[in-house]
Amino acid sequence: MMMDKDSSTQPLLPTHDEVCAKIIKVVFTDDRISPISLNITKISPVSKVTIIWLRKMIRELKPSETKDHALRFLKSGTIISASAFNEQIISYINSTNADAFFIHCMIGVDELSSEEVLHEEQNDDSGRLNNVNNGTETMGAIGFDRLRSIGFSDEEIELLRSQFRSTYGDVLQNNDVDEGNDVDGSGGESDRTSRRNIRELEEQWMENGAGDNDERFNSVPIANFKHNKDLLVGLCVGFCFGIFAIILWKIDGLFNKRQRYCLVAGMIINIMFCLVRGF
Amino acid sequence: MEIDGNTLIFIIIILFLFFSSPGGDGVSSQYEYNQLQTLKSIYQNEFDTFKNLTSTTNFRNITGLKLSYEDVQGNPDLNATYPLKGKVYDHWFTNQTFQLLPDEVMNMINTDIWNLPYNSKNLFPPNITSTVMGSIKLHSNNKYEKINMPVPRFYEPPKDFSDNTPPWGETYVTEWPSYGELHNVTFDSGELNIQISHIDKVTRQINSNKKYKFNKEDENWKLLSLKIDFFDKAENEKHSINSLAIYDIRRGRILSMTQSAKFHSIFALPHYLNFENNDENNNDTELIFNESKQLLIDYWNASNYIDTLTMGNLEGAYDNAYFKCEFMTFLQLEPWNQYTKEQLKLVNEELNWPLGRPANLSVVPPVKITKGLLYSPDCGVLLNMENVKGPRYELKLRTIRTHLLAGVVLIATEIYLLLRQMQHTNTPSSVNKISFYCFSMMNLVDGSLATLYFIASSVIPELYLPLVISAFASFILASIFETRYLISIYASQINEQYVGVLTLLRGSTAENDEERPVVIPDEASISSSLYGRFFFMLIIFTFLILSSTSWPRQIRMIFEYSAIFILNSYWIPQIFRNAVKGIPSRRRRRRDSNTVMTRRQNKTPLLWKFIIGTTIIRALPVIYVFTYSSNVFRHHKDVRFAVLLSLWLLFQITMLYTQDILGSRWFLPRHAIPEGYSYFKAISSQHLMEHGQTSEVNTVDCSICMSEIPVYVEELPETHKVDQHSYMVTPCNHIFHTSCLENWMSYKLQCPVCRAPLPPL
Amino acid sequence: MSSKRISKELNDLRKDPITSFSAGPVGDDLFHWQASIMGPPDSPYAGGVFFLSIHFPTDYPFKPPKISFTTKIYHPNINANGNICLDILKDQWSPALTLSKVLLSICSLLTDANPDDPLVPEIAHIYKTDRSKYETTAREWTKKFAV
Repeated sequence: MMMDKDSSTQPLLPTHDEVCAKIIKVVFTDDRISPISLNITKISPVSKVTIIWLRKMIRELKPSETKDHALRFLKSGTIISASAFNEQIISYINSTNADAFFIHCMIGVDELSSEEVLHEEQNDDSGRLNNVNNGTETMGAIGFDRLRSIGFSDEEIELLRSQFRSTYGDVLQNNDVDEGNDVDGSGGESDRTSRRNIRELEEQWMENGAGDNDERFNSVPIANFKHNKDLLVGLCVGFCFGIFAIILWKIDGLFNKRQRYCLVAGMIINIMFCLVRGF
Repeated sequence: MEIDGNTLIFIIIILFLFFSSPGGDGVSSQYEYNQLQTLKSIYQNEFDTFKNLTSTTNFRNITGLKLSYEDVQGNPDLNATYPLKGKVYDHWFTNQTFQLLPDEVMNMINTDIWNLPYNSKNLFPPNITSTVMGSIKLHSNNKYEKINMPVPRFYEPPKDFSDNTPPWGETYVTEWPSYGELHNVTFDSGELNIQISHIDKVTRQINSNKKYKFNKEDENWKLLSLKIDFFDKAENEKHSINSLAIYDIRRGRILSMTQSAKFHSIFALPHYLNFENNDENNNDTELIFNESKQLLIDYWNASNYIDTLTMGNLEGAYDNAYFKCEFMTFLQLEPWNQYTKEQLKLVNEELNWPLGRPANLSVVPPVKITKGLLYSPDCGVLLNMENVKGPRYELKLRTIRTHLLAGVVLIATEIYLLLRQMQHTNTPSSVNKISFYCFSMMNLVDGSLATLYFIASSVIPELYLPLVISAFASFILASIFETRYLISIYASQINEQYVGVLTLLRGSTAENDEERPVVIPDEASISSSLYGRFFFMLIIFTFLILSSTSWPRQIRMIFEYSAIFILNSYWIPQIFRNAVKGIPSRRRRRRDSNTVMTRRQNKTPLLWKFIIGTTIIRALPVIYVFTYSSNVFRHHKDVRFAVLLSLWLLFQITMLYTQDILGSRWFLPRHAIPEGYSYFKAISSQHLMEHGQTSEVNTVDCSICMSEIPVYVEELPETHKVDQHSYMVTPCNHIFHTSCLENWMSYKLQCPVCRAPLPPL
Repeated sequence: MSSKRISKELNDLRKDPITSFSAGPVGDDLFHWQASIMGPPDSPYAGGVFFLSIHFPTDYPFKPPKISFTTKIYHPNINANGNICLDILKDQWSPALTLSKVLLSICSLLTDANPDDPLVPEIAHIYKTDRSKYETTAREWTKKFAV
């Protein structure tokens, strides 16, 4: 182990005789701590390189900063679990990728007792933060449960969703932007809204067929023919039927969202005409 | 002023006072009460006298009828009193001793106007609700003596607050007011229109809406209300008369007399219905007199004439006495002999209550007045009418209805064409080529059309439905679709606000960078400002149009012709904009359209079907009004102007066509147009050093796709095989792949790196 | 074209990681990423890890990516659904912006909020009137949800 430690503190440039140096680069979330590079080319078996091993190494190399603090590792935007880490290390070693495998290391703010430090590993897989995407998440993850209950499995739902998005991504966005789902902010693909959008899109898709791929660069939404047609239809129906258009509103599947808004506008115009006549 | 309890009470009190009317009859002071009582008692006395009138007795103490023509002939300053010394009150003959009309006029009426014999088999329509138009000629205005009709003094407004009793007596007005209508008719010939409407139902109480029939579908007599307007051709002198009339259906005669404070002519009507003195028709004379008198008595009783008098009536009568001449009108209708009695009845019922009876309504003849005469006893004016006719009101409404529906079809087609056009220009680059003012003009016209339809729908309640539909159609065309389009045009051209035309022609944006706002305002603020401007212009324009109907003819004609001409030049701004943008000719476009991108960029701004369709739709109504002589607006025919307008529109379309074929700047002299900004240029080494990498390959990174761009460097000959059209250089010296930047420019004309505005392609 | 660019950005991130955030695709879908931002040390969010979900549109980079916080955070420009009010994610988007630049902007938004264009007016009001209360609450939330 000491030998490893010596060789691993060398700087990172791959030397000429090493064909592919496999290096783990640990970047700390605190800017003041400089990153650590660990050369793992010479370690065998590869299964030795685990999260626990990594933690130990870091504690040894940066004792002052890491003493009594929890260490967590982030990769590709999530907290990485031990098993995922092992998998990724194995595939990294076996690949011919010359770049370093980098990983973020987060030093916890709270002080831990030595007890807890020892048992830190237990938190890796079952830790609170690992469930962070489910527990403290702000949106309820009920969106796709509905589809699940019909008989779709998780993978099928994900597949459907990614396929749908890749084909109809811009229509989804346009509907999002124009229908006011994204009125507040820039993201908002919460499951609730995406479920609604997807349901609506599926309906439209089933009604209209494929269509519309030429409108990909339709960047002036005001001039979109489909939108304007919806506007026209909604206005005329809303105006002609007046208050009774509410009945038409309630019928599901007759009008899409945009047409419904225009229906309201047509009704308002109708009422305005009435008021003026009354005077 | 803060809204608190006190202010609220104040506001409520003001509103209460504002909206509460002082009693049903408008009396608001003791003085007015006395005035009204005096008027009522006078009317009551006169009515009692009237009831005792027979066909052989003279008028006694009825206002305005105290003097006859002969009385004044020898003695122009005679005062009108009852009883007059030497006047016969127990007989009645139709000559100027007893009548207001001179004998000459009476003979004219007998021989020319009311000359159909009583027993002839002529059939006249019972219902003649219509508006008839024709021409009028002055016969004489200084030949006959003016009969003095004094105005009773109790009509006068109080001199000071403490007056309670209106003054007694009468005044003889010698100085007529110099404003308002002339107390004389000075033009030689002019135009006339008469609105004839039947009085079938009356209200029994003041301010009540319930109407009762008083005339039980009488076959022989009808009470009418005539509104006669006559004016000279130049519309400098206008006269307007409202009068009550009796319609003798058996003989097709209409007699009408105006009423005012100085002339209670309602009681005179029976005596003036018959001018024949022949003995053999004496029975008929008496019959006519009694029947018409009964009609008037029925009307009087049914409408509670005396009890429903208001201050408004009193003041109106006073104004009429002062400002207008009194007129007696004698009209003769043309018989409708092509129908039998039953057929006439059928046609009449079908017109009034359309149920689909087999009456051929399209061949119903117009209501025609063959002869007519207007005489004013107190102004001494005699006028003759000729060629007066007009369609039945219901028929006129039908034609208007068909026209309106045709209008709705035109508007719907226009909406469709507009949507297609909007679809055609759905990227900022293509919208940039459209002229903002072109569509603004169309927008203004459509908006005023919507407002006018809307106003008309409250004025003509019978046509409410077609008018409201037309108003709705033009409303959504103007203020929803066209305005949306204008917003997108405006948004894409906002960078050009501060730039002059020449710079635009040049297409360069290198200079004047500091003055231009970098932040492009978002659509919400643009749309609110555009809507504000639109409504403002609309209100002004509609107000102008509506007020122009009362201007004298000359000014109105000038306004109308120039407005039509200007508003039909909507392609001129587009021609101008095409020249500014410099669209290449069709041949060049075909040659250059090698990629999908350039093909998209090079399409014409306006669709041809939009251009032709819009021109036809907008020109059709104007040409119709100017060429079809019996159009619904009673507009005069001017084929020359219609032809001129069509030629002008044709010229504009031809210009657009030549711009399409020959390139949009073919008519500009060569030296006036410098070259537009070209995105495809070579790069200098120094530039490469600044922006590019220091590797051996002479490339620059494209920040959109993040791959490398091989560039043409002037100093390095090995780069000379690079196609200069494969990359674009912006005025701010940033380099991108052609496809990458063209794609981005279809979203926004802004440099991705430094956000500087980019000239369109 | 969009997948090429997204792959390029991913490679750049792998080669040259930035300390303030970590991001990568969820599973195999290149268009759906997750990211984690560390609370900036000079802000009340220090010590917390905030997760975000990122969706790239099919016409990326011509349209901005959709980014939202999946961790609850107390911030005037971020609402309870995780939507972020940031101009470069809406009408001020430019194709020259990369995901790392955007995430860095979000980090600086955490340090310096923009209370004049708030998504949550109540928090913005507290930010403007009682800064210490804002910081305390932010710290509480960070401790509760993001640690």
